[in-house]
Amino acid sequence: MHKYVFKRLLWLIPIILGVSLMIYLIMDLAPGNIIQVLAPADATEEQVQQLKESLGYDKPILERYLRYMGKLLTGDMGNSYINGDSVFKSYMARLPATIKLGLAAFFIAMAISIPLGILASLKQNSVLDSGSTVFAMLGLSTPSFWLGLILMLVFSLKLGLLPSGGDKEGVKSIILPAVTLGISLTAGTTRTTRSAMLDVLRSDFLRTARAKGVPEGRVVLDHAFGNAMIPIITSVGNQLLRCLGGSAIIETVFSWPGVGRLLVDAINNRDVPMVTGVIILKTIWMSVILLMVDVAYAYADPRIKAQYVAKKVKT
Amino acid sequence: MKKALAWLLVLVMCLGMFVACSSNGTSNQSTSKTEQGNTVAEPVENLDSAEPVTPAGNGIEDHNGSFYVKMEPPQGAAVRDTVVIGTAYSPTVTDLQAQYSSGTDIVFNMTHNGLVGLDGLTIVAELAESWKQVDDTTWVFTLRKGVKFHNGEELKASDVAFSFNRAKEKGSTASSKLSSVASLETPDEYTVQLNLKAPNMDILMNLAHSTCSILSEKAVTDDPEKGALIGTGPYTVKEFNTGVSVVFERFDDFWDGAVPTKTVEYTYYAENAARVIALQNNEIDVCIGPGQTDWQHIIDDSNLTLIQYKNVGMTYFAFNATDPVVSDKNVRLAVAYALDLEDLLYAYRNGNAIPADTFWGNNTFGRNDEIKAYPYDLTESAKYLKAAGYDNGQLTLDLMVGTAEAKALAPVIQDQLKKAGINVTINEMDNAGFSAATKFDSATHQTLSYSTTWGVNGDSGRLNLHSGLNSNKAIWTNERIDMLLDTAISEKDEAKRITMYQEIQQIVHDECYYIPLYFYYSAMGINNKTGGIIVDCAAAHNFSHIYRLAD
Repeated sequence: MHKYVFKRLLWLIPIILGVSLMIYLIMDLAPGNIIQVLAPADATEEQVQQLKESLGYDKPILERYLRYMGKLLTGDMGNSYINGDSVFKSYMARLPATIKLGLAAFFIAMAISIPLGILASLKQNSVLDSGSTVFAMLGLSTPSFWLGLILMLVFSLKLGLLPSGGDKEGVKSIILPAVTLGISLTAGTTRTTRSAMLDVLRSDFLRTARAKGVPEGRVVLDHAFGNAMIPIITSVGNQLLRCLGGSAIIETVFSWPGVGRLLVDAINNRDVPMVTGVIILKTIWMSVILLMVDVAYAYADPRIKAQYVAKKVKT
Repeated sequence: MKKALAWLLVLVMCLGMFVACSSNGTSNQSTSKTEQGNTVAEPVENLDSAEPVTPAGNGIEDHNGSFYVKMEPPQGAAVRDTVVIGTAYSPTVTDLQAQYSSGTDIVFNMTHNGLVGLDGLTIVAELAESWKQVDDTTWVFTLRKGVKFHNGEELKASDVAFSFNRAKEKGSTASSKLSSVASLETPDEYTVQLNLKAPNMDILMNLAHSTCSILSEKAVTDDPEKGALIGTGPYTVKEFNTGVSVVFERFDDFWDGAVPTKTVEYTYYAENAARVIALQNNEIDVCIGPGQTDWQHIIDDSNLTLIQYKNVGMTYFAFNATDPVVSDKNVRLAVAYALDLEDLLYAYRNGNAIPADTFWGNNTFGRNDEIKAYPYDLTESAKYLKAAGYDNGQLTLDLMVGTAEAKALAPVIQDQLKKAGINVTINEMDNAGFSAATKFDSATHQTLSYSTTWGVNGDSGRLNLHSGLNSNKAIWTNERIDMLLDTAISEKDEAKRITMYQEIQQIVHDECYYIPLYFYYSAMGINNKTGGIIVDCAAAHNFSHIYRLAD
């Protein structure tokens, strides 16, 4: 198992190389570059040339990329073209806020979607089942910026219960953005949980368990839910990736100082070091989460763990 | 039963589409219909006089289009320790000489001073207590004594020399403002002599710009990354959270006396509606740049005041002079007569704008008030279109847009020109892409819509009109205009300067490479207990004396 984890971590190296090269090429192909952003409106050709030389834009793209990778090997992700701040420090300064919001939204989503999915599967074709379907569709179709503004109007302005934005009031600040993000995530996991449970609930071994006198609660939670875990873990993993990757829309509406907005602003400003650095760090972060999901499979289903171990034996 | 439920849900969803599109029905807004039958909201205030209405009196004074809001707290009144400003501008710039962008002025007005400042249209003393023009190209400034930087160092002439020499090397807006300075001398510790390359009547205006503020040589040398944040202003920067907020703390050794408020938080709210909600919710005391559709909410709130002002920003339509199709003047005039400027006021600005006549600033020196905009006349448009050799529907123009405003205007322009028999294809880009595609030496656009701002000095026309500059979006080389601009900047006779600038505007109007569309109104929302604000018509608001009365 350890070897499997180590191999997956080693894959990060070619992934980072590929991702960084792609970003450089895409940013170079996009119309406009940082020179257009930084140069004053009445800049002369000499001023533009001066700016190009100071930022290395007088060199070909491959040379710029190789210089960047050379620095990256020493742990230097470069500085933002816009404000000169270290890319790594800028990202790490914003990451805690993103993790806070992401985890809060994730727990809200899971607290609603998994029980709802289980109940819907148990009461198939009932009002509860239909209601959960409607709720899921509403969650998927409602634009998050609209939902966020409505919640802000009601709970912040009309009722005065919660702040409208920012991260200055601790738990109170996180409620509205987390609920907004969480509701939009609920739909997918609810439906997946319901489908996975329905597949398992028809199984013979559950009939056997009931015949043995196992309480219904244990039948559902231990036996049925345990065997339905694999697709649920996949869905939960995807939602976790969405939560922890940063949501630019939620961060914009609620003025939340996360990494989502950091990346969007960097792309709009053609701030190549910031874009490259943020995406590389995000790639590492996401790869680790995906690895955790794969490890979770192994613990949810011993047959999968056996496959991972069998590969080791073969080699 | 299930079918009935399904149909009911479908009906509810369909009704939901109409609910989402209805107006908010506030009693102060009436509606009017455009020719297309669309219903739009009337502007929030009476525009019969075509002037924005800001509550007169009540401590609000008009200084040539900028507003001074209750500059002094009432005698003996207690003020809060902290004031919170919600801004539409993301704070990213920590070195005012490296980059200049929207909102930069607001931050550095708190922390820095220049040799001189601007009060409306008047140059006022700041770090220089006096100055004199020795000859056409020589200015001598005498510095105040005992002025402290935030790091405790005293301001000396060497700091001025350091600041200006550093600015000139940056290749930024600061460099442009000081481009006419040939050399600088410091005969003694408190005297600075500027030697210009040629006479420049706008040099004081340039020096009043925030990018020409004075830095501490020691601070920048010791800390090249953050040393530029050290200034002589009434506030120091306690925290700079890039893209999020700036926290200012009062500098008690400020040369002009300590200001009323201890701490000012300048917080970025990207979403307009969220910023207004925060103001209504008393989370912020000032809301910079509320969205047009939210102005009525501020007016309706008895705890708040909306300060509306005529911005120096102008939205315009331009032709690429190097394009073979639009280089035909008949095509340009056909378009000019086909644009209904009154209708365009509603596309993005909700009527909170005033049609522009001449391509010049409303407060800019040398404005030619004789020039009137081309009237909306489809008959005249058809005449010029025919003279250009196009029948109805034969001409297609490409319209490039890069800003949110231009993108909202584009379909309206397209619709208007279609009525005149001119087809328009819209080419949308983001800001960086737009800048790249409209560079002077490699522009690919045929026509575009964009916005510009006008300074009070006549030479601010150079940005849009002088050949060779990337800000000249018409890619237009007119030797007469270049000569007039280069001559006027050095002309000491004011009447002659005015004549030159007025001739420039006449040429621009006659050649029609630029069609000015409108000047827009902007606004700021403030809590009624807040004062000490200078609402600047160029959006370089000054909050250095802000206060909020205690409850």
